[in-house]
Amino acid sequence: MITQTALNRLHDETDHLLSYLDLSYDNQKTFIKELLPFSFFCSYWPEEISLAAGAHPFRVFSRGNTYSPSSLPAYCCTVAKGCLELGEKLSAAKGEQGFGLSGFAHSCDTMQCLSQIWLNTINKNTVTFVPPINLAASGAADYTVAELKKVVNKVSELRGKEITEEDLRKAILTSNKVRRLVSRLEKLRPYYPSGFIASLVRVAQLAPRPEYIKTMDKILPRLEDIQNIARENKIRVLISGAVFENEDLHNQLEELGARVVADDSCSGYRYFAELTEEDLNPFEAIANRLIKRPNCPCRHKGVAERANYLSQLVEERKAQGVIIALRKFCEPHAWDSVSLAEKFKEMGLPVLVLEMEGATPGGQERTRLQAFLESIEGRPDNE
Amino acid sequence: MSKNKQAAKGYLPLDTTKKLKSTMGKHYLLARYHKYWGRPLNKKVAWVTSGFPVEILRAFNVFPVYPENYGAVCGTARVSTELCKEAESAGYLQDLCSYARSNIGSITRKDLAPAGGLPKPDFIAICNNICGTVLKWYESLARIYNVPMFIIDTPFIVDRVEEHHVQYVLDQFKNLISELEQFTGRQFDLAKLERIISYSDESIKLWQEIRSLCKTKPSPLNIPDMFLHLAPIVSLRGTAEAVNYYKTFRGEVLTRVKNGVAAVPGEKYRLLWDNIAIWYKLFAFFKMFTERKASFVVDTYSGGWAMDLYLGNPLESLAETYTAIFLNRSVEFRAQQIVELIGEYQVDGFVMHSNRSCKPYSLVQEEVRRIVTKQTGIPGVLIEADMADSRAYSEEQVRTRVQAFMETLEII
Repeated sequence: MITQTALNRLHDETDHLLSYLDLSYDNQKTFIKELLPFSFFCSYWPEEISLAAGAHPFRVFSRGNTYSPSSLPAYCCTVAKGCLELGEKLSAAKGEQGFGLSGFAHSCDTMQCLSQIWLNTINKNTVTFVPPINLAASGAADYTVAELKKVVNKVSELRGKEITEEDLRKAILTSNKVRRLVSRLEKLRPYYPSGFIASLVRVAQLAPRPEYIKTMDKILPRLEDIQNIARENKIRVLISGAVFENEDLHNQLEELGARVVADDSCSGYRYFAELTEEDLNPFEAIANRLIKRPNCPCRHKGVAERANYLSQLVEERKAQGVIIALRKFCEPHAWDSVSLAEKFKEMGLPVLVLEMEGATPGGQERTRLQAFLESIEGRPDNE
Repeated sequence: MSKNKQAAKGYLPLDTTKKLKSTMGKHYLLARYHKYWGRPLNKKVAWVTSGFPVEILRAFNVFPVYPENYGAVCGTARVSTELCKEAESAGYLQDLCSYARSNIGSITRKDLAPAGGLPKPDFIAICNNICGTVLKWYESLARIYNVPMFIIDTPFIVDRVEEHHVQYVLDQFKNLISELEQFTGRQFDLAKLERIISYSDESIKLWQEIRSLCKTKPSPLNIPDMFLHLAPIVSLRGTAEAVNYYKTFRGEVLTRVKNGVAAVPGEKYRLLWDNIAIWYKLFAFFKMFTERKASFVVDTYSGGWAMDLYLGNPLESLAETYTAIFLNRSVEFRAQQIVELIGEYQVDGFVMHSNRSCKPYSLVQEEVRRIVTKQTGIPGVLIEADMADSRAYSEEQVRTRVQAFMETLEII
């Protein structure tokens, strides 16, 4: 078993990297003085465009708790409310330039509305990319290419500097390096505490990419030296959901004796899945990847696509149970939870649909998680 | 027209309502017995979203039914809440769209469902120009019934409709046509599509004209009229029946205008409505306004079917028209639309239904309200409720807000 000392040593080495998880965006400004911040929200935002603009793409993760901005009604998810809270605070403190450029990828109805409010009240330098909803549609690839070109032109205009295809090619190489590193991290999920791996995945959306690559190039080989790591007897679970703005759910699961062996969240591996082809026209390459990568519930590739993808993930990672973590008022994931739960039950797999107000499970949620994990423990095949 | 009816509604009823009942009654009767006549006539039944370019389906002799319109029927019949609970017991959370929950609940609770529910679909057709929820809702339906799902993906319009938007939708139309040819066994007939589009165009023009007649002072209609008489343009769009219906309706409204008849006698305030109706409280809610001589003379919701059909070849015209629908547009566009309506209809104030079931409509309303009031100086108020699920309606809270708003208007 990996010792606490060994973990502490790893933490020491990743310390600076993980400091980018700090939710204060003042920190982002302090850390990255020379780069223009480029805030983005959805996993479908092509970060290659931000990098090609010479900016620092960082994903806006709210505090994950409850907040009620006056612009949004009570029946709106805490993800959108939290992002707006950060936006309001930062724009009050620093004016419109607080978020540098902002990039939205059109996804659910709520984010569509948030993008509009953000543009009007937080940051006029906001660009919205509208990928296809139906990724299997006739003409989806051509449309995506045209839309990407439009977005690149808009960003160039706001940046006051033309983004060339060469800039995009270089950005693709950088993004792919990060994706390869995160793919290697994914394979280590069974061996390391859930929160630790999740934080290293999440910080890849926040830290300057060159710094992430440099640090992970150094520490990943050591993390991968798993010969001496004893496998802990944990219950292997797959979690699925929208955005996890912190690792509280992962950490609680560890405390309760579980290990997250697959994280199908919008802030988890889905963001990094699939590489952008490096020797193709960059616009076509980015479009292809967006279409190819595992889709979120806001997009469609067929009615059984997500259930099939997740079933495959369950098999590959040998998950013993599935937790569908729903954020209150998140419609796309709530819709999918019904058919996914049915599918997993058909497979004979225990499944828990856990609705949470914010990103941190409360007492009641903890009790439900505990009961769920106990039920898995008690199953004959786990004794 | 009985005085009792007027007293119950708080304003002048329309004679055309009888025709509405018979027209929609016939539609739902045909739907109910489709299983007996559909197959012999090779007329497939499709469940269709309200913003789908139904003209293409009609060109293939498809019989479309509208779960959203049916949701409104369930709401008005006050059975939605029970149907929603049925869907919730199957795992669909209470925070999901109440039209969708009513529809899903009606599949298993035929005993509660008005007209015995909708006929089993041969396929379903969805266009996301009104919201993203329809994609998820119809995916569920496709799984429940194990039927094909045809999607028209209309990209959200951040600024203006551009060539690549139209081209993308057009590509999908071409693919849809080829799939429908296979599925229905019928050849695509361009002349038939043109004929159907001309019916749509005529209905839309009549609908636009009827809406325009409400610019008259006093207004010949109060907005619940528009909500109810919207049903044919949603469910029968692209048919001669819809055209005939709206000719009758226009006739009655023109007569009122000619004779200076007000829907709300003694009209004192002219208001604008934003969002879908509160169906289960349709008359009770608006009575709070008519009691104060306030007439809702225009709204944004029924304006969704007053869109201009763009000229050009039929498919391009449909592609542009259905992509440009107002719910698929920016806050700026929606605010400007309200600003213009306020000017054209000489509006004194606006009421926004913050509708828990319709996020794309509702989540930006506060921002729209701010922009509109800033530009016009006209006050607006948000009332939180739900279009079909009465559990989200708080009588006292609503009444207090309406009273406060009307007092503001009286001071102005």
